[in-house]
Amino acid sequence: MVVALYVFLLVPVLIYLVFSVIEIWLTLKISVRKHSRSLLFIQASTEITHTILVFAYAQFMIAFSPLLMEIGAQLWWPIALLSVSILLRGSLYLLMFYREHSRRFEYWVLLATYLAGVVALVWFLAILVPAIVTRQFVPDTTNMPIVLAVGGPALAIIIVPLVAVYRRAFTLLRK
Amino acid sequence: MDSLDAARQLIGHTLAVHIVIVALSIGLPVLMSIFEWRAWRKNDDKMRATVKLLARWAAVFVVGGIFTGTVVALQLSTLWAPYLNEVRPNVGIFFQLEGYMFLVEAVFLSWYFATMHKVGTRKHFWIGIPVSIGTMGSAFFITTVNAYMNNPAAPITLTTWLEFTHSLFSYIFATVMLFLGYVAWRSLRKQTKPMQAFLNFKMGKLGIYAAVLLVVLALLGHQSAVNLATTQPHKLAAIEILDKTQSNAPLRIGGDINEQGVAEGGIVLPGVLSALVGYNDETVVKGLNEYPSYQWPDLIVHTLFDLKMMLIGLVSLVVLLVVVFIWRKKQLPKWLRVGLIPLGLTGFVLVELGWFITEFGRQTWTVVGKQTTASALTQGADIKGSLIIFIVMFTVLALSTLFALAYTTRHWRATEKLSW
Repeated sequence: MVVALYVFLLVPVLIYLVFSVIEIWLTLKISVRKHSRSLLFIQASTEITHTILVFAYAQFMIAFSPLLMEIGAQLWWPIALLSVSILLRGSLYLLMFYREHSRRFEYWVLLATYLAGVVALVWFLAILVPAIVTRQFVPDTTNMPIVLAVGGPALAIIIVPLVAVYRRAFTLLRK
Repeated sequence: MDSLDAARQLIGHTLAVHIVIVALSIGLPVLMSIFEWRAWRKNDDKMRATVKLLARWAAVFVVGGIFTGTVVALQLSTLWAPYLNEVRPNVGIFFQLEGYMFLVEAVFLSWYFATMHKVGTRKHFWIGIPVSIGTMGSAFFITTVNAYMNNPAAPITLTTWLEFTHSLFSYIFATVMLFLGYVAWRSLRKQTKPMQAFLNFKMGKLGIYAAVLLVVLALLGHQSAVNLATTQPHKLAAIEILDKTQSNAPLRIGGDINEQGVAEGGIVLPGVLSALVGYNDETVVKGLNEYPSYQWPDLIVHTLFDLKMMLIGLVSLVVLLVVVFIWRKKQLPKWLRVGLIPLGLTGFVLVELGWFITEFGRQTWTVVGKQTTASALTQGADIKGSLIIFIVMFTVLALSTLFALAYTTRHWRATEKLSW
């Protein structure tokens, strides 16, 4: 079950990272030269990409809560950085995607929020991973049978729209 | 300010912002489905246009909801890890299952927007239904956790169902009132006769929804008070500033508790509290004297509750007037429509007041009888100066949201060639 839990955490995180890298690359592209199609991709994908991260984090914070009691205070600063970058990204998303024309510096700030997120994630892992290894921490998997059992039907329900939304995002990019 | 106060303020501010967005994320899809159903069944283009406006608003709020929701989870895991560890064995699963509901909501909402102009109204209506299931599902799971904090007798209790239904209907009510306020505002502008008739019809419908919801909320609110008397008597005693355990317990509007711990002042209605919670004025209601004063919640909950009741009275009166005018098939007079504009926001004030009373009233506990708020804070957690940064960020997010709403509404008006 521990392996199942780690797979359950890492797969969404990996998906998040892949789409974040794409979004970072596209934001850089818009910042350097105006490329509005990139913005359309981000607009279509960001909500779901972030939700996938929230999903993984909800699993993490319950399964790892005994460990978080010990290292939570140390994790606060990378988490604070991540939170501020997320809130700023949300604000920019609303400002940029609901206006005809955005200013160049706004794209740079958007890019900065992504990069701050990457820094926060690396900082977070630099504290978390050694703590797991040195304490030989085993996460709580009590709820995993239920989480896995619900996962099948849930995936079946969302897979069609999920693929449709990302396919649309890539179509917007190619147009 | 010590570390505990700072951490409490931070999570308090975050949740206060998040809850408004949550209310709209639940209420807007419900209204969208109701209007889209009507558009489908009656082939009504004006309703179809209304759905598009609400969908645009929902898109704005869902963005805010995802980002503020992430920040809530991040704070809980670092600053409040002992709390998560306390609730994990009994209700931790609900946090985990809530993740699925987020996915259902976000994925179907994105699909809903993507298919807005590409599929027929009927198919589009059905794509919108899982959005409501997702939003209500996540509300159920997270409210279950909160209900457990209030009444940890079992993972799911009567408190769960009362809290869930009461909050769910209050979110929908807040959204209905907001939209009613918006329609009333636009109806004051110069409109063509058919459009004015349509807006009047819409205000009537919304007024009826609001009236029905008010009745349901009143019944649920009363049942919650009855439940509170047995599951959280200290909270009820603080809300009603009942100083000592007694039968024939009074309901006090206004007033305060003096330094000797005796309630004084205000309007006192003898026996009414006993009659309300036990349907008999001989019912014994526990007072604050049963608890040491350091375990009392902040008695500001009494003032907040009085304020909430006053606002409910005012809103009920106005909604009743709307229903009377509609019933008599008359157009709403200008003064009533002007009054509806500020009242459009009262639903959210009521939602905030309700949650303030729930959360402040539970103090000094985080999980009643099991974990105090002081022991729920992660050891060594100190957010130092970051509180002010977060407050600035929430302000920026709120302003961006208002900007996006104004812009998208103007854009909708231009696209649909409408004047409201």
